[in-house]
Amino acid sequence: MKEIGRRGFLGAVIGAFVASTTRLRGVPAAEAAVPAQVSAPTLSAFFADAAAAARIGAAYLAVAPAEGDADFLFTELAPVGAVPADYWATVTIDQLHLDIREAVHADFEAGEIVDIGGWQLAKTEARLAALSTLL
Amino acid sequence: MLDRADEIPRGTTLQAAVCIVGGGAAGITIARELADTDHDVILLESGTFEFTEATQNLYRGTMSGIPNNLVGGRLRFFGGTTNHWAGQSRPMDAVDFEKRSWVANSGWPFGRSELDPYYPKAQKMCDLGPFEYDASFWEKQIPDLQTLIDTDTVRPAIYQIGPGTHFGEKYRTVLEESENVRVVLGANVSNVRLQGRRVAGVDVKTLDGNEIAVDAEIVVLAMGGIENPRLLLASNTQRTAGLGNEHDLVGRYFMDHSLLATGRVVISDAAPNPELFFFVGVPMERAGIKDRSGALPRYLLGHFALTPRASREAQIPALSALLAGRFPGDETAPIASADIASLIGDVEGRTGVVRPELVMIEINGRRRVSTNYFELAVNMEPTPYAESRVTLTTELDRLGMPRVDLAWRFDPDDYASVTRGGAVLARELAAQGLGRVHLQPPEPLAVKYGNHHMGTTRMHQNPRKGVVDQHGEVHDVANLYIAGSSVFPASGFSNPTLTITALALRMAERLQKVLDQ
Repeated sequence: MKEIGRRGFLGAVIGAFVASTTRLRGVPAAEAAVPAQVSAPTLSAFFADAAAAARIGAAYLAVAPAEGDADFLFTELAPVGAVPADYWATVTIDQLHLDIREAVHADFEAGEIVDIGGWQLAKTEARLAALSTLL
Repeated sequence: MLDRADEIPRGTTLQAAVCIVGGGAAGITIARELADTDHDVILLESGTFEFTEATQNLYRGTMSGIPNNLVGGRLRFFGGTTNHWAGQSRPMDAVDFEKRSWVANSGWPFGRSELDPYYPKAQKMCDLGPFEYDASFWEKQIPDLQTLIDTDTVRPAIYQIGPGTHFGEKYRTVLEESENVRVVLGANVSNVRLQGRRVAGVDVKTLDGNEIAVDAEIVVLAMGGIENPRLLLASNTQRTAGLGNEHDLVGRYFMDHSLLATGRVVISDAAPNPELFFFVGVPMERAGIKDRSGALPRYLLGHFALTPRASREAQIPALSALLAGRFPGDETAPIASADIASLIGDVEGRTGVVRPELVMIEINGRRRVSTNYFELAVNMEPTPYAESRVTLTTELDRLGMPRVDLAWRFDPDDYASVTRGGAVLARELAAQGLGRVHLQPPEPLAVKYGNHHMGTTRMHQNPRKGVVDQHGEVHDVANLYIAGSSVFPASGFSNPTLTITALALRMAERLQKVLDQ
């Protein structure tokens, strides 16, 4: 697990809010808050090797070009039932690791798998890598 | 007793209650079980106690299908192919005996429980460890050993690697000293004779040109998955299609195991000690089991296998896999294994590679440092396939016997099944946080064939579907029996020698009952 300062992390998250009208996953549209975006440095902190993540992310977008939209990916990557804006505004890096890990395992169990150059990856991890290339 | 066929006067006809043709694992096991009984037994062995080119060359033939190891994969001297057996052993699973609607031509005439009484004794004959193949047993014996994966989809499949017992060396003395067993070396059977619908005996030739015969109440063919059909097909003077071949089944359904590279794996350190699942294996000494014979050490080896439920859901035959080292790395690939290792670390919170000492892989006796990934080596049960077959050619060997053509073929669906199975494994390994898999079209790995020649005189209750019945007796020739893996109607993924030995023990018991009656 990467070590970043909680205060710095939250500051970066809050400071990076960007408005969007993207419809949310798992919550009624009427209740949907505006999704937020994590700053590029913060998301980079998730990945120990940003270049490796970028290669994976770019490869994913090559097979799923319609997903080349940061707002869309922020929305899709928020846990089911969560309001993306709230989630991304408050999630800590430790919690993000936990949530992503859980989502990735659930993806594999549900068959939500993407083939990226032969690698069988969970859709969630591929999307997260893709998001890192868009920020 | 011990004889040499070329020293027996020409034209002699020997008499026996049982004539066993072939001195390999099956033949020796049956002879040993019948030793010191009231029944005279003759064991005919083509070779002697040593390898000779002249005898081995009798195996030569052609291959018109997938290349196999027609000559080098088996050995034609006393002890047979156990003379180069590596000792890897595992009983077949219960599901391997079942008729599975998604595996064409599968199903034995009996279940695994039929062999359960014989497996433990076979285990001892093969100088293996305790008859324990549950991973949980070994985890208790070896505290720092941990099963890589055990779920509803993927289960551990434990192998024991024994010293590779050479049956000829180990059991020679007991046969030589037996008063009712006569081992005849240099005896090549060229024909099986009938009297009506019963077997009458066999004709024998030597490389020096001698000819003798054996008359017997019972004849057992135990020459392996290629020579058994060869002799049946070549014994065509009384039945033009050969013996047991009324329904054109002899020689068909040839099967062998092979390891197919199905993908690369980057595994995490989720399993603290996954060494069991590498080619190298774990010495049983760590469980306090010592090899008193001073022979090669015994190892445990783990494959991870699809559960019967997963196989049924994916509609594929039995399948197992293990992790093999491979060189060189893939650093120049668009997405390298190192990239994936990093991703695993990010997502799983783990290092993305196994402990450094575990990436030391032993290849040909030398410990080598692996790159950061492993080969997913898949061993799938071949679907019994009628077009995979042994036939006779017009070329004759030195004894005037037709040489064989081996057309080894896979059922056309098998490659797709391997791919599908690899995908299931990939998904389950990842779902358990154990790693990520790069899938590729299956290709033969270093072990292209297992030298497990099976299926060519398959067992089935119905004469239209099998050459022998549930006892190993040829359907249309009374008292002609066939032993060995040629009777396997389906093979599972386990190495066959332990099952060959267990089946031979069962057959010996049957023969004794028949003779006692």
